[in-house]
Amino acid sequence: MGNNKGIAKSGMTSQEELFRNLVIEHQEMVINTCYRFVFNREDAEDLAQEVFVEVFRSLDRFREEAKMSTWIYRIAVSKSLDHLRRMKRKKRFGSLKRLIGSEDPGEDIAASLSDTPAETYVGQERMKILQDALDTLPDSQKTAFLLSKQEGFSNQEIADILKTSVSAVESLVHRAKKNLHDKLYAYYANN
Amino acid sequence: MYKRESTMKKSNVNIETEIDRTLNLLDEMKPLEVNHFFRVRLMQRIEQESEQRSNKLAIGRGVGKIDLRFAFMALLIIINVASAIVSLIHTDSPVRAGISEMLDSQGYDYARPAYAYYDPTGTFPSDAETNSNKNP
Repeated sequence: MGNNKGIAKSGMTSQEELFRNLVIEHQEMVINTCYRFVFNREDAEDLAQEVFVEVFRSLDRFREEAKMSTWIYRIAVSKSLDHLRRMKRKKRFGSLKRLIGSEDPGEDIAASLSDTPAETYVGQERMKILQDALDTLPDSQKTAFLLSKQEGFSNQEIADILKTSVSAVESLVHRAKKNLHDKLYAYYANN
Repeated sequence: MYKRESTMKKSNVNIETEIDRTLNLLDEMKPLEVNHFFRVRLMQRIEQESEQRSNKLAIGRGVGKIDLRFAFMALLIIINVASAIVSLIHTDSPVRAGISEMLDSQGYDYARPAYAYYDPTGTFPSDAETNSNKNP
């Protein structure tokens, strides 16, 4: 993540030009951050669009209390978590739809991670198991764990995004790993 | 018993293997490359939002104006109607009082025996009285 103080303090560029530069600099990181949460390319891109729209709306209110990049990724995390909550509610409603027979089987197909159909199927199954396990984690543990797995985020940067300390981040990651392990163990022991 | 323990160990190892494979999915996720059209779509959306926002403000101002005019007209109508009602209420009673007083006074005047065309006691005036009245 680069130093954004120069861009933020520049009085030479117009707001739109400033915004365009921000998008160019951070779009990849924002899309991949959202992708880590939602495991779906289309959803990740849609979320990234919403993140930048929010950034554009709130650019005037940015008070430089944190780095611009920290602020942007904080919005990305927040939007991703909101999306996951919506999907959870949709799943609950989906079970009702299944009962009455109006569910669309194509709705839940996630992006493929591999090339062959067999690998795709196995990969998707395993991905779903992982997603279900991640859904059981509290937001703070989930965020710390997923960001720690993503290149480009140090523990200090994760702490800045979560507005907490480095030691707290390490503790969150440790607890997340333990909880995930327990969930997955229970799943594989019974299946 | 030894066989059971080793079977359990194997299944534990299998489970741990599965857990590791599942968790490693996150490390195996390749980073997405940004779609060429991402920024184009984003800037289009930003422009649409800016236009919608400016339109809303204009409509809001227009709607505000229309609302104010209607409100003012309604207020004027209400004030006029109310004042008309109030003036009717206040002007009616003195007129009625005047008319009734007039009627009363006239009634009193014309009811006096001097103005009566007939004698309420039932006797008719004599010719002499009538002549004396004619030729005082």
